[in-house]
Amino acid sequence: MLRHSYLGKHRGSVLTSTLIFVVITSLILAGIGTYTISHLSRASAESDYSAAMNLAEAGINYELRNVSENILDTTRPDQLHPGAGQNGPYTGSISGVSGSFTVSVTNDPDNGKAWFAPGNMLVTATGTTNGVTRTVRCRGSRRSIFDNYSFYGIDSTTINGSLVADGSFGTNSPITLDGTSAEVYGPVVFNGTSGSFNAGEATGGVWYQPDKISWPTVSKLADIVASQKSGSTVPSGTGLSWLRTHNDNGQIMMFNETAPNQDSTLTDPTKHYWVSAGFSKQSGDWIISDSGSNKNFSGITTDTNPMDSKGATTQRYDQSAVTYTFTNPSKTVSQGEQYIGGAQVYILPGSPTSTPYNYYFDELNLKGNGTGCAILIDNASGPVNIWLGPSSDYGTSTDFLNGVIFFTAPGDSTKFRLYDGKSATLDIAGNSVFPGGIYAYNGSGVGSIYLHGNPVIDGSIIADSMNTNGTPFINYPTNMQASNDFSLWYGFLNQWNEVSGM
Amino acid sequence: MHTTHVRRRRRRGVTYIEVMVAALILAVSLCAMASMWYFSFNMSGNTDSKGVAYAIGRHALEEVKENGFRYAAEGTTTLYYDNSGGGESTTQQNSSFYQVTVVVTSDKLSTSDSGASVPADDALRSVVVTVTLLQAQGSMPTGTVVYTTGTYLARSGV
Repeated sequence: MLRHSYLGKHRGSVLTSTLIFVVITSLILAGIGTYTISHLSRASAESDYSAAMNLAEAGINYELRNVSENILDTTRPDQLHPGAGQNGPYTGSISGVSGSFTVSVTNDPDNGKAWFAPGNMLVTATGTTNGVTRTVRCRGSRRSIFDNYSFYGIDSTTINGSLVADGSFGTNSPITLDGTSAEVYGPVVFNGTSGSFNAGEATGGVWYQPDKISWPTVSKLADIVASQKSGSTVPSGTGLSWLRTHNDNGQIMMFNETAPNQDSTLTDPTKHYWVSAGFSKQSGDWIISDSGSNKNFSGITTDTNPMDSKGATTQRYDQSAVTYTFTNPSKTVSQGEQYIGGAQVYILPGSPTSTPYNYYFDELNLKGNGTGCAILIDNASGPVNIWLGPSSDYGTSTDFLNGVIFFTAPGDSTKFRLYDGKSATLDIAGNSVFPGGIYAYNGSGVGSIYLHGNPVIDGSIIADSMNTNGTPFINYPTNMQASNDFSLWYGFLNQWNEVSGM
Repeated sequence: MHTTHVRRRRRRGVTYIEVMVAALILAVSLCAMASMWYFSFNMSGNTDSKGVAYAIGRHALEEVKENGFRYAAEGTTTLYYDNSGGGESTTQQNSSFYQVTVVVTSDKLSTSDSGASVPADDALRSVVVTVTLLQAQGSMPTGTVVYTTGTYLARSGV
């Protein structure tokens, strides 16, 4: 009776209890399931966000390489604002990795127009994977033709004597080493060629790259300058001709021996230019006091053995800061004159702006102290470009830079550049120090430099054919890069940032 | 009277059918719960694997980036990790749980004077990192590729 009563009061309780248990347990398990799924989704999302970023960076690196492969080809960059015949944004992927990237370049800052070398650029890339998109942007800038090598022979390199190069030494062709004391304090790089450097010393080792470096011709570089200065694109190959008649030669001042106020004690306070080195006058010629190979110029004392100074930062000269003043130039050189030589002192002013003065010559005839010709390049005032171009009269005549050349800022290698587009030889000798870059290449077989005597290049020297003798010293400085240099390839500059996403 | 009593007794209490229904519901529910528990257990395992795989995969890619375009080793590099992402080893151990494969490929190569293969200056180097399970985890069997990522390297790139 009791049992019946108890059961009677709890009829259906088993079913109810079971249902309650099932519901509660199901809710708990559903919560756990939801949590685990959301946790898995979060882990997947994190990996996708990371992978999308990697893809975006892949896009930037892809484009930097793409632009660098031929910076003179205006159709190569993947433009956000393409002009006629130019590529638009590029979409690519990495084999073995899911997802894709899209990349494009613009001017820096973006002005809605197509980008052209050698300006700085913005590279924007978007990586996408599993629906996750991330976009990054960075600034890119060019590496100039003078950024890598202290010495480069493109089609031919012959070394006699005792060349010393402090910096990278490169070539597109085998090197003929007739001397046994060539010393390179850096790597020797054979690009796209075999060869050996057994007779020389290379502290940075000998390296072999598979491809030759494709150097731009002086003619193409002149096209760029002519197009920039004229405001419109000049026909290909006409830049040098344009510069021959549209140059800054009118800025040049010339002093000859018959002009007034030219003696060894030029103290007129009405100065136009000054140098911290000693011009003097002997036997009717303007020369630098030179006691031989020790470079004991007036106003300059040398250290005990400057050629032992192989460090890029070593100071070779102690200048006594003697100031010489030149007054009343006998004449100025007109834009239509393209010759420097004879018993004169020429002063080539630097540009007061960041755009270099472009001086153009058919011939440079600076043959040393005997001729009395000297050049003062006022690179302290601004950048100076010298162009040597072919002409009917002087197209094949040798150019000489083996006299007296002074720079008002001898420690600044960023403001002097010489571009030689002639098929003749450029003969560089004497004891002068050239702080800057010298480039002689106008296609295979055109552009030859003969470097002999005791010149010092505080910078970079590149030519189609390089021949050396004597004891030239090429010292690649740490501050070689100039904003106006021409580009060889493009790389990351700065300002990496994410534009959108997350 | 007797009839009424019997009828009342039949209505009251736990019936055999009620117990059977409850048992059926409980059985079905327990199956579902077990399935749910198994699913959650596997999901937790998968999450655990993905999290660790993501971490060690990203670590591998950052290491390549740190070496950079010039010095990142060309070819395939394989490393092994235990189930916590530690115990890095170049050879597979009994405790190895993850295999990280880093493949660096250059589209242009050059050689140094010592014969070493180095990337050409104008090469585009692709880096692909793959993390593979060496032991079953969660619902993922041995050999499952848990994480893959990659990028390009260029001279003077980012």
